[in-house]
Amino acid sequence: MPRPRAEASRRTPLGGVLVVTFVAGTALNLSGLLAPSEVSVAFRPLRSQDSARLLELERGTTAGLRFDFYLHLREHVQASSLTIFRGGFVDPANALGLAGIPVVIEGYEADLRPDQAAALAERSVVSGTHRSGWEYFIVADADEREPGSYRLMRLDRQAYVASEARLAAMGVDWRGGS
Amino acid sequence: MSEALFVAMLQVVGAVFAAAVVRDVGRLGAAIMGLPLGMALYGLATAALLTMRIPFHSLGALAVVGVLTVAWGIAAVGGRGLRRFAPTLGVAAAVAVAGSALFQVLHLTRVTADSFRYLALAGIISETGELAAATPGLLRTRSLLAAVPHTGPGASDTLYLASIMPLLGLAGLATFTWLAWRTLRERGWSSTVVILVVASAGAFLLSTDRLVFNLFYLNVHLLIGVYAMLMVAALWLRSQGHPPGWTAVAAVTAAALVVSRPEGPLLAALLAVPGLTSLRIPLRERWAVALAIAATCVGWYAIRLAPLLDDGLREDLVLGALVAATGVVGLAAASSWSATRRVTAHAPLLVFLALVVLLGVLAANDPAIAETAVRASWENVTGRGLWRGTWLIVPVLFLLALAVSRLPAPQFWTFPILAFPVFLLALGLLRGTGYRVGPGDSGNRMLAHILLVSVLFIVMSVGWGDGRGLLRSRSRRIDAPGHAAVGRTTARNSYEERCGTVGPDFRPGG
Repeated sequence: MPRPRAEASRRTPLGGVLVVTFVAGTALNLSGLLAPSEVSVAFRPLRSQDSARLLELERGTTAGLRFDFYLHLREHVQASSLTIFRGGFVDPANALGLAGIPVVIEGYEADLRPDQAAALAERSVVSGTHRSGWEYFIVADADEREPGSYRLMRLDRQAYVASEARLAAMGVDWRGGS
Repeated sequence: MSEALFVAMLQVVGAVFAAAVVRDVGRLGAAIMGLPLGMALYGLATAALLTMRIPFHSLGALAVVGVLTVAWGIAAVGGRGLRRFAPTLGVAAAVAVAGSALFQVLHLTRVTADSFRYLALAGIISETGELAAATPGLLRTRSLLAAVPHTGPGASDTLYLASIMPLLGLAGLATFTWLAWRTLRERGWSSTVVILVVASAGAFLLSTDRLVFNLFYLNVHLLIGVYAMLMVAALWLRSQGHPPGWTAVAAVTAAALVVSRPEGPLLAALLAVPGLTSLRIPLRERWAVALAIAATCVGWYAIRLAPLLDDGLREDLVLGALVAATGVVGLAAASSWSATRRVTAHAPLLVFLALVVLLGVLAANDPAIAETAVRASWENVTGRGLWRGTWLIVPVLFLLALAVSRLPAPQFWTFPILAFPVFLLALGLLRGTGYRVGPGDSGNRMLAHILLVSVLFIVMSVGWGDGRGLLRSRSRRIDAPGHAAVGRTTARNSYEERCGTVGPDFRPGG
């Protein structure tokens, strides 16, 4: 039932407050979205020998999971779609995986605190700055459960590791073509 | 069968269900809620088949759900009623097909480690027709709901449906818009103001980094966010005199939440607390919601998954489901007895306090993890979690909404919104690891579960407020948690005005 005009006009400021606040929030959100990209994606496609190597490794290390799905899936998820998300919605670790860098799937969620990252960085065997701008280092034996494995770590601008990917098989030239 | 056709069939099934059970939803509302409800029904049918160890086939499950829904629709509104609905269904199906084709072309799918496990589970179910090949590792920290859509026939080539999550998310946002629009218009707001409010709220949501991410992310968070909103809104609408069909919507979405994540049973039970103890909802309908939750808990966790305990499935997974089942049945029973009704009238407040005490005990037991969890969560909501400004704005507006609102039975909204962060932190401590900084953190991702509920409450509360609200807020919040008494609110309720008075269904205990 419609309210009387007087009451409606009395409530209008409330709607105004809501609209202004939502618009301010939207602007705040978009300011992050439109910020310069933290990572630009221009990696090479996954090579067939990398796929075979990764598949062999994954089957050997984690029984029961169907990693052939993982490799198959990656064929279908195209890195080109990332351009739309560049700057805000792209997740660097995800970008690595989607772009064909051989990311072992368990490695994804291990965001680390700065102290943990620093401890790992001390053990790095390789470090440097990627052409796209982000700093990286590779740590040997990062995972106590899997001796001999390697991890590719990424440092973000706040100097903590925002994502990780594990290079489980050495010899994979993940920097090639990037 | 193509992905687009499968999505369209889910849309049609859900829309027919909505039109059949919710008398006042209208053709547009039914079409808007079609895909979320269709996915929930399909997911529950899958869970039922797997629990009863009946070989699963996606088309078979879809056919069962479709036939039952159409039969219910014919029984409810008659063949003529369904035929009148056919043009709207046709348009809705066409939109679903077009949307599916669009998102298959855009292909913005996001995948992480969790995604692969959900898809591995979906692949096992669709290839073998059963759950036997699934290891406890696939079910230990995840559940069925996010996997189910990808058992669809359209996934046979790509192993996943690229369009299902964006379409589900857009349907959720459309449902949000429809509910907000309808409430504000019924409160007499001018269409211009309503357009501005709803559009700005929609823009705010669509500019939220993690919400957009979830639109394309193969995971369960968006599903939970949409179902939580539907469940809370449905229970509240029913409490305000809307047709009993809203209880069916609440029951279906609650059951879907149960199989969404390991903590799904507890989340569904939490969201149901105000509804299960409100005398504004008839007793038999309270029992319907309680039994939907309890039956799904017992069927999926205690019957289907419990045998996997010997293979390494965590005991707390089953235990949590049994606690939730016992809790909802206990609340429904207690609210039906006059001797205990005085206590259950305060159930939201009591459960909230119990959660706070639980959190306090857990934090005292392991202060270091508690501190880590709180610090990480704070850093996540203030920037590191990639929520940008969303969780800075929402709490401020929530407080404003509390101050100005004359929303009747606000505990349906305020209890879930206030209890959720306590529940979230308690979960982090219960699992013994707390939370960590980063967008991929479990606690950070779970914030998506309560976002739509929170923003919808804000919009609806302001819709029910007036310019004097800030000055008079304390005196009129008489239907706050613990005050579920019938007819004690002085708020002008357009639904009650429309219905004339509170009907016989709303008698205490009725």
